[in-house]
Amino acid sequence: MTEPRTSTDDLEQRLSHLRHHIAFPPTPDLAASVLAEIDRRRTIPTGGAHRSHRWALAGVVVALVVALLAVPKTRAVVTDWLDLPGVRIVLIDDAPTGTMPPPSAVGMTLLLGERVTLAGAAAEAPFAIRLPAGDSLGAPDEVYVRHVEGGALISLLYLPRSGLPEIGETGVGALLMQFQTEEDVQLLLKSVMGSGDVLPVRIGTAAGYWVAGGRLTVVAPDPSQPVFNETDARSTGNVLLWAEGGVTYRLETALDRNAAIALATSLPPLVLTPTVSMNWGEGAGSDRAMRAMDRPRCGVGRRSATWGVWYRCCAAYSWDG
Amino acid sequence: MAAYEELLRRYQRLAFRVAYVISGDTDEAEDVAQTAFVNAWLALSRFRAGASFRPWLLRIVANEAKNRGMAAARRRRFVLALAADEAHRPLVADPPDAALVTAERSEWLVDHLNRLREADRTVLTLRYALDLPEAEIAAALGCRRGTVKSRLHRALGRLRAQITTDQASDDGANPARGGDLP
Repeated sequence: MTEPRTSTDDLEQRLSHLRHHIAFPPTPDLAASVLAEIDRRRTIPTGGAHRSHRWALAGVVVALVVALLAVPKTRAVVTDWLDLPGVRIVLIDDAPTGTMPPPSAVGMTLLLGERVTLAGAAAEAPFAIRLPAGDSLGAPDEVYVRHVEGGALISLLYLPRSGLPEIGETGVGALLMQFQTEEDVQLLLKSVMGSGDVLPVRIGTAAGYWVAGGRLTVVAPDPSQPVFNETDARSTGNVLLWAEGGVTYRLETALDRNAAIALATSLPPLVLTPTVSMNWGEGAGSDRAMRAMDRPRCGVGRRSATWGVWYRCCAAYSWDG
Repeated sequence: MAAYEELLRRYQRLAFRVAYVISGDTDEAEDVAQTAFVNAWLALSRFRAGASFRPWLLRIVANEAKNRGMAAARRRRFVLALAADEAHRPLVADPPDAALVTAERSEWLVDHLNRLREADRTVLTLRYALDLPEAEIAAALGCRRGTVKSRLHRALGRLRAQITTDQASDDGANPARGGDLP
């Protein structure tokens, strides 16, 4: 385009002038649809404010992943380190500090998605939802589905009970998340964890990670929710992460490692596909997993005779932007 | 609910336009704005009394837009455009002769903006086309206000450099032409 001559001194003025002439699509009237959706959500039984409070904290345990502490000057994305689809690791310099007030009450739909029946979740999930054995947990107290690109994030929530202590003061006994996604899709979006340990473990034939200790602070698994920020919530739950059959599992409880693994292995057997990447048996997937575990990137971590590599962790889920 | 409806109607255009700038897609922007208002309502209990609603809402909008865009990996490129008749009709507020020039300037400037990298175009659009203050741009972009300042500064610098380069090129092609428009 042949442009008019201009000095750049008045550039900002000209840009400001543009605001009257830029074309934006007509703004749709959102009121009706928004109010209808709000009404619909208000009709979903929430169990009252106390229960909402619990669900808010249940959201706390939605997100997790791990990055490596001990490398304060290193900041790098380590996408595949855990080799768990949908999980991304970002190294951060420091965990947020400061006093963390108790979480505020929120609606139950904020972080886990939409509350549904188990049958409803089964219909939504592109994979078979696996329930722990009946003598351990059995059917969940609540089921949530969060729709994501290419599938659904299923959250099974169990209230505390005998043998299943409450996670911190969350009102949650266990949260078992199951999701299937492409590696590049970020389902667990952002969380920050204080010091803690990450330990490679086996869950049956699958390989996974045990993340324990430290203080887990979740920013928000759903960035559309501004309500959880670095100081909004906390959880001291221990997390088990593993993948089988292309499905990533995340179990957060207050149980110790062995009890959590026992709970995880109570899931009914899965017919593994050849693409399972975390199998420690024979095959390319197991080689890949083992290579990932034997390669403490950025030179951090210390070896354990039993499990290969220990890491002291400071973690953040993150997404670009 | 009536009060929230009033808020909704007051800010729906702003929310929609910010969503459009970020997502680059009309339908996506509508979905984003709608979801953002629902989410904002759900989170109202945590809205800090006395705080400004606009940046809070914009943060929700922007996060929703980014989340959808990234998850779908199909974010469209946001492109500025003049109002449909802008390039061909004199601007009402200007005298006839100046109006023609102004329309030409607007078209030319929009063309330059669209040639910028998207991040620059986005921050300049939020600042100048939507007239957002830096605090609200920071909310929409999920960054600190100081970062907004630096991004704006760099974006303006690149826009100036681009204009200068084009003018120098034009001078080379048309040496008889010179001087700035009044």
